Order: sequence, then C-alpha cells, then structure tokens
Amino acid sequence: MEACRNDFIARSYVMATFELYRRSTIGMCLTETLDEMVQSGTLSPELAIQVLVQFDKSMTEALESQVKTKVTIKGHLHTYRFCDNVWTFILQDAMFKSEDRQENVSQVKIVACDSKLLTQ
Amino acid sequence: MDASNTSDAYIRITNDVISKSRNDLVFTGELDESVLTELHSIWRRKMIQAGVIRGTIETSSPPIQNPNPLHGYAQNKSGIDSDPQFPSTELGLSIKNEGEGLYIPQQDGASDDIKPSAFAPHDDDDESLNEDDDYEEDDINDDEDIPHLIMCQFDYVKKRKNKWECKLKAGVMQINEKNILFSETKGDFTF
Repeated sequence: MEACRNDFIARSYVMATFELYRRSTIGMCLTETLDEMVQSGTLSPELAIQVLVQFDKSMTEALESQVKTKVTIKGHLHTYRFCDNVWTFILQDAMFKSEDRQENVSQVKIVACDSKLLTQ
Repeated sequence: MDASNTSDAYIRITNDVISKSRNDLVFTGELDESVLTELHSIWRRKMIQAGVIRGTIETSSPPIQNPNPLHGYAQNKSGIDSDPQFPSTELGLSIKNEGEGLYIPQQDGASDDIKPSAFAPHDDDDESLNEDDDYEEDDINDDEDIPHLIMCQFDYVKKRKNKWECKLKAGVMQINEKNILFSETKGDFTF
C-alpha cells in the first residue's frame, strides 16, 4: 500500500512539474521547435523529450531563485478546482500589483501546482 | 513589471537549457552539436517573433530587426498539444466542489420513473425535471475564452467563508499581452 502511495506521489510530482511551464510562451516555442525537428527527422523523439525535461528544470530553477519580483493579486473568484494536487482558479476583475506597476484583467486563469512536491 | 527583465530571464533560461543539453547529450555523442545549434536558433527565432525576447533574426540577407517591439506574446497560444510524443497533463475531469462528494455516473441501467412517494411531502409548487434545467458550468478547461493565464506553484491555499487567501510562487503571468515573472505572490480572492 505504501509503495502504491509513494508511486502515486512520485508520478504526481512528475506530472505536476514537468507539464506546467510548458504552457508558457517560452515553453510553447520550444515545443514547436522540437516538434518541427522531430517531424523533419533531424531530432529523435527521445532526445526531444530530454530537452523538454531540461527546460522544465531550468525554468523552475530560474523562477525559484533568479526572479525577484513580488506581486499581489486581488479579484473575484469565479471558479475553483483542486485535483491531482493542482489548484485551478478563474478570477474575474483581477488586479495585479507590483511595487512599480499594476495590471487589470477582466478574467484570468491560474494554474498552481503544489510547491511541496518539488522540495525533495 | 519590466518586460526587459522577462526577456533577460528567458534568454538565460534558453542558454541554460542548451548548455546543459550540450553537456548531457552532445558530449556523450547522442546529439550532434549542429542539431543543438539549430534547435537554439529556431527556438530563439520563435521567441523573438512572439515578442517575448529582444534580438535580431539573422538571415542570409542583412539581419531583420524584429518588427514587433518587445511587448509580450503576439498570439494566444492556448491549450496543450495532444501529440503523443509530448504527453500532456490531464488536469482532471472531475469537478469537485466543497460540500459535495465526487459525482459517480449511474451505470446500472436507465433511470427509473420517479413516482411520488406516499412518505415524501407533496409540494404543489414542484416542477418536473426537464433537460433545460441542467446548469452548464463554465468549462474550466476552456482556454479559448480566457487569453490570460498564470502558471505557478502554491505554498498554501486557505479560505474562511467566502474569503480565499493563497501564497503562490515561481510564476509566469501571461496577461494583457505581457509576460511577467514573479517569485512570490499573495492572493486575496472573494468567492
């Protein structure tokens, strides 16, 4: 039972980290690049996945240790969901403030993975 | 929230991915340096075209300055590829609301006709159930309508009545055609 649970956590960890930041513009640009190179036969799918995995690590590390910006978010919570250790929120009329600027959006989706799964 | 900080960060991340891939794959002979260089070049070009990093796109003619000034991303890139080579996360199909259990679809045959019970109180105001009565909740996975997206991690999420508070970190915000990175966020939401 314990082994199953640990395996589930390990797999959740894998899924929680490795997929999240790929949806960003930098991640999508990489995915498209790798896709093209695999399609043209320049790069094998196995190597493409290894590069993508490295992206996950590099991106996470940069956001955790190199970025220094702090932000506050306020808004109306329209929808929420917690599933597979991932919170998804849809906010309406949201306001983002940092020390030098502010952004307002009428609707925004937040996808957040459990940071505790990464401190291993 | 300076866009140039995002550009610098993305350039550093790109370089880090390439140099680590070089160590892991090129020096071991699995990957050719020329392929890695091409990868780097195409990736950079796409990011310049998307407007998330500064740079010039080199071609055989004089270098073309990016016509789109650094502003964020030009297109809404939504969704996750369903390409089996790049497995996607299924963020879960079940919608779990507080106070309710998981919805288990009926699998034991067609639904029964419900006859008024002799024991249930009969209310003349009761309306019969119709198809149109189902409330279609907004599809939480429908990215098409929400071009603004934040990807991050959470330290905690708590709520008191309808007041939600969360601590988020290590995030990418793609809002108002900008890419903004944050190390920490405090969120206060009202449900």
